[in-house]
Amino acid sequence: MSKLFMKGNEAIAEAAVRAGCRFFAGYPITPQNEIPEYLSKRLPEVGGAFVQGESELASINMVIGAAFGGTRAMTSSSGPGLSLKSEGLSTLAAAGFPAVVVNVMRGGPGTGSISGAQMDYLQATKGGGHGGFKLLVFAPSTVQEAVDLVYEAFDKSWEYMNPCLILADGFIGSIMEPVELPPFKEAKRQEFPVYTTRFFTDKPGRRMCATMIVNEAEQEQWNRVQAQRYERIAQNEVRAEEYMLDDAEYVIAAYGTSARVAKSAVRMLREKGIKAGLIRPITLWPFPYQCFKKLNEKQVKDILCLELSIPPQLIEDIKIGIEGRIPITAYGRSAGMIFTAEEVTEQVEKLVGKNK
Amino acid sequence: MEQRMKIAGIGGQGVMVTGKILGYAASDHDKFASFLPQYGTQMRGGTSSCTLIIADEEIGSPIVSTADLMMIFQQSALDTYIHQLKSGGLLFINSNTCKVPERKDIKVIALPVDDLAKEMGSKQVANIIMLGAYVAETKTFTIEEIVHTLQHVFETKPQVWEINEKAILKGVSLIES
Repeated sequence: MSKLFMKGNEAIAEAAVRAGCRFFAGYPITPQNEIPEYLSKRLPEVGGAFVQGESELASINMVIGAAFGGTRAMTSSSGPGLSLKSEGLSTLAAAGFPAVVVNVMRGGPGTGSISGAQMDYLQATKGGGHGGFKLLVFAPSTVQEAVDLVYEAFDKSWEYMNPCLILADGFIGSIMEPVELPPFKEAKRQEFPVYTTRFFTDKPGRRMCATMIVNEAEQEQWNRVQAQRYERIAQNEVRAEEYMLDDAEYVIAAYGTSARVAKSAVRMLREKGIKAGLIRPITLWPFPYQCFKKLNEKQVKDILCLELSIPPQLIEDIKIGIEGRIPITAYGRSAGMIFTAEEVTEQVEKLVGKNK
Repeated sequence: MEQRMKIAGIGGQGVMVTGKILGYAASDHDKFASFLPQYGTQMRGGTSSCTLIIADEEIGSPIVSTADLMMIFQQSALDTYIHQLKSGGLLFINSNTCKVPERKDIKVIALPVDDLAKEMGSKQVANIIMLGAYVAETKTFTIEEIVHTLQHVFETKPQVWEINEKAILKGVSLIES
């Protein structure tokens, strides 16, 4: 099959359409605007609906409605918009509704700079909203991987009845690369395998959207159901790429665009005779702790946490995986500034110098 | 093979289009490619540049700090980026707008593409003339391959296909003559 040369944001949008997404509501924000722009034209072509909401809140609430109606639905935004949507995300999770949400990250708190960065790791993995819910979080590092993960995210969110987040950065959104697009899935309205209310009422056939449970015992029971769901996701969905790790003495940990730069740096370091390797989390939640737990502290001298974030955020999960056995050093650029492979190479060489 | 390239000029000179066409050509002919645009905030006349990598293997970093090759359409862009061209690198410049730089460790191909484009009847094809010269010089693609890709690009604009085909062949002839 021939490849198309596509921009990340547009490829994400087309992958969603091919995955059967037939409803999108969103509100404009850089650097993800090509997603709604593309879908505003594309969804009507396939019998779907595109709505530019009057706000982020309205958009996510429309997605809740579409999901409850059994439609594969998506919304996309960048960090500030995700914050506004967090109430709706929490509601999706509380109800056990499937939907796909894309965050093309920008460069800081508040409104943040509009260029690409990776400033929303903790928001995505630890605090997407109130109530202790979790999102299945995919972090693509190439346009092709973005396509593949978005395509799969719809299936996964329906499989687990849980919203799924694509955490991309502005570089993945704006870069163009050759991609092979997946085939079209049949877009049919899906029946929910379970309803929130089915656990609690004596009328299991009743279609009811209950996002608030007043009875304490019922809420606790539902929280247990949620916890079991997260346990299943954590057991089955952890994904990571390990690159040149077998004999690695210096391990870079990075995801998304940072991981691509890291990969180039690993190749350059190997040419210089430095045994470098890379761990690239593909799912950020559930996090691939095992990749870090199995690192041998007698072999690995240092870990470089590489991230387009200042302060570092990914480091919180690396620490859990490493359990204090190996030193971790963070190196970050941010706000749209990006490290080069040469710059990362220098950082690792500093660690090598420190260990001599 | 991994060719790391910077294309730069000012808005309206076809910088992005040139980069994208090379990306399309790479994609059409089973090569890896990544195209990263950098826009100025100005509506018109601001700096416009893009980074393009064409490779036989999967591309790691999409960022280029040291370029193998540059295609520059404006003096201000040349001043900004010339130091990022590696020693032994190849520089294409629009000699109507750029002075040949003093660096002796690079190969410079200076072509008056603005004048040539005007002579052909459309100043808009200056970048396509440059593209022809690039293909003839680097042989990253054959002439047939780039023409084939351009045909696709201009599929929806048949009225300008003829002049663009002439422009690409003009660029080729500047190197091959």
